[in-house]
Amino acid sequence: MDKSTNISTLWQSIKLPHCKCGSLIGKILIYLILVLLSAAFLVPFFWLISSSLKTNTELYANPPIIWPAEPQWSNYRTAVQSFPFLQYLGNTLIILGCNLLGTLLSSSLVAYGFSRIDWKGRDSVFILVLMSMMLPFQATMIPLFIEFQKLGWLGTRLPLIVPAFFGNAFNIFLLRQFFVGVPKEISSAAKVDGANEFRIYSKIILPLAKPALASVGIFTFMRCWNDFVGPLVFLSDNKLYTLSIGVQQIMGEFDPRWTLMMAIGMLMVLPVLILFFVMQKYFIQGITFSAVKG
Amino acid sequence: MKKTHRKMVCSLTILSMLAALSSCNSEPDNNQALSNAAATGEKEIIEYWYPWGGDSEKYDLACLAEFEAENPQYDVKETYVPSDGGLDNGKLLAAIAGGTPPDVIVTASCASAYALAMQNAFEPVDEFLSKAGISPDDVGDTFKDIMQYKGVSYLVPRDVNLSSLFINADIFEENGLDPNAPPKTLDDLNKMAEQLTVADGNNYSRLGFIPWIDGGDDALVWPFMFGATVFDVNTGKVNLTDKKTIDALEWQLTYAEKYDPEKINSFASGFGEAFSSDHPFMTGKVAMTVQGNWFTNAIAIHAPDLNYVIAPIPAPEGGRYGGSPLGTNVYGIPKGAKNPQGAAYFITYNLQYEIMDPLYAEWRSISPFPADYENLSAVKNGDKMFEMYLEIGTNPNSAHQGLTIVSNELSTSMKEIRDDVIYNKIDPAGELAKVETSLQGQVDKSAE
Repeated sequence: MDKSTNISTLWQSIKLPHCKCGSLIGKILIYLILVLLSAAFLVPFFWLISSSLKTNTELYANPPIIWPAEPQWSNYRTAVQSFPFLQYLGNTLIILGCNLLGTLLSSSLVAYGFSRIDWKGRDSVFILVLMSMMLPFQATMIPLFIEFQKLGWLGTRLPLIVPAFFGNAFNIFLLRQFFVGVPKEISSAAKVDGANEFRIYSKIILPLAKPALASVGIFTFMRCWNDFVGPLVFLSDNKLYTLSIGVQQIMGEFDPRWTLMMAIGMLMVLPVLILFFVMQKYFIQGITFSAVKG
Repeated sequence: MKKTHRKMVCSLTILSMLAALSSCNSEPDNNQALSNAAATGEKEIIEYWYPWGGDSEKYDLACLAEFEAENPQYDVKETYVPSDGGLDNGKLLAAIAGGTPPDVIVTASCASAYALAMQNAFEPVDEFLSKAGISPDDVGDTFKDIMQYKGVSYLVPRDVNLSSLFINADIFEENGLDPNAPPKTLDDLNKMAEQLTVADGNNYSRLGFIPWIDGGDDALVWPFMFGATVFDVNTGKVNLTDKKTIDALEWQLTYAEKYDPEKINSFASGFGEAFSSDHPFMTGKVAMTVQGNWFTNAIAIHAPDLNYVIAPIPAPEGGRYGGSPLGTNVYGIPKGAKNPQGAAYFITYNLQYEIMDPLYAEWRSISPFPADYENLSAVKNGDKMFEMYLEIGTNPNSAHQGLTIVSNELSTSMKEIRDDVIYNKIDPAGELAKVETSLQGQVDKSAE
């Protein structure tokens, strides 16, 4: 059995049983439920778009205005001119790119060690790694701050980038669950052919793990894209700030300027949305595998 | 070929990563910069954190540029720190703990700043201010409470915001009331509120007054106006079971019983925010409301034709009529600041009435320095509303409220109790006693 057949067989085995709704009414019912459930997620998104195009008066009108009579596209221009949008976007992308690279490399390497190599105390160490997930950022913030201060990294992007190269418990867990599902025989066969562990990891396991890596990539993207507290605490120069902080910079002392906030909110949601649609096939596969195997 | 291409991509990726990381590390270290500056006679750095964006930021940065232009020996390194200068999100505490605090912060969360001052998170500033030319004696009596803790100054008041009763003059006149004879007592307020309320079938088309909207949403406002002091800074005692606090809640309950809070909610569901022309006071859906001085500017922008007057918030006998709860933007020099004296000069410069005057004129916030009043353009231009705010702000009944180490918990708990009183008709005394015990425990623990 080659590896693709093996994965395909595994995939088939975890599919949920088909609902026996052969009749037209059954299908209509299912689609109706799906449409209603989708609406629950789509309505707030629609409201975000609609609000980003309203005037202040339309935003608070009663009864609510579904779609503005004259969409205020200028809200977007005003919003991006309210703070250094391009500079913050560039900063966000630098941090994001480095985090993606660091997380994918380190988490997959650590996950490989926890799933494909037998060593004494492996499971205990894995539990310790998992426990680090339970610590809220507020609890580790000051020790981390002091640590980065001692390293002379405060006020630079390093505190937001370097930790990504040392793995992340959630991503390690996700990838480990996937790696555990890959038959050991594949590794054994490679070892017989003279491959060492790193070669097996890089040439066999990683190519097989594309769906799980895509999931980790999307999670990392969302975490970095939306991270507010990290950049706020570790950066001390407006020139290095990210978009999530820029959103707040629109607000004056008394006037929150909600329509502009909505416009920036919309601009910030778009990349995440596009990424999800492009990668959704891998994402769903990755999540399903990682959740079921182990 | 394919292999070479991959290697090239790989090398490029690593090179870009290294470039990104080296550029990350190329940001100057402030402490290093400061010591270098001292050694070479270069500019002194003042690290400054400010919490607002939008037009407020533009104004702040313009003042900063003027300071640098007039004081070329200083280089102010400004950082935007939402939402309150790093007080509540932990940024300031982390910076203090890490030994890298800014030299000066400004914040609108004066109660949170005061709570931190009580916990020794700010430097005593009397000596620095004295060298910079400011004495606590220059600050008006009503504004000193936010400045000092146990006789020592930790915070420096900038612009003071206060509340008043906003009255729709047209609605008053239509109903035979004189807007220039505003309600002073609660009896007056209750009667006028009833007279101005218009029922529309089972709902309302106008309410005379709702105690808990706008400025009244802060659940400490009415106990304050009733004369209660919920925390005594000198003795460290939380006092929520004062009869005045209970009376304030029971008075709000009379509105809930009379006008039905659910019906009010239904009526209020379409109310716009203060900075929209759909605000109920601007649309005439509410005839009187309690709101801050800055609301006058919101009206000027969104309902410039509205005919209204302002007056002191009504209060019962023994209450604080003529005064107002104050909300002041304050400067503070965090513990361990590298350049506290430079920060004090920066603060002193910014507090000059020439610098602050445009802000006072636009938002009608008032200066904490009474000696400035005659020089302010709003006074010179005969702005009656501004003069009213000066009267309210300097009235001995005005004060900052809830200045305690547990200010956030106090504010949240009081709001929960108030909502329980209004919507669930609970007896406030029991709940207030429970919260008082709990908060007192926290205060005592922090004092150990």
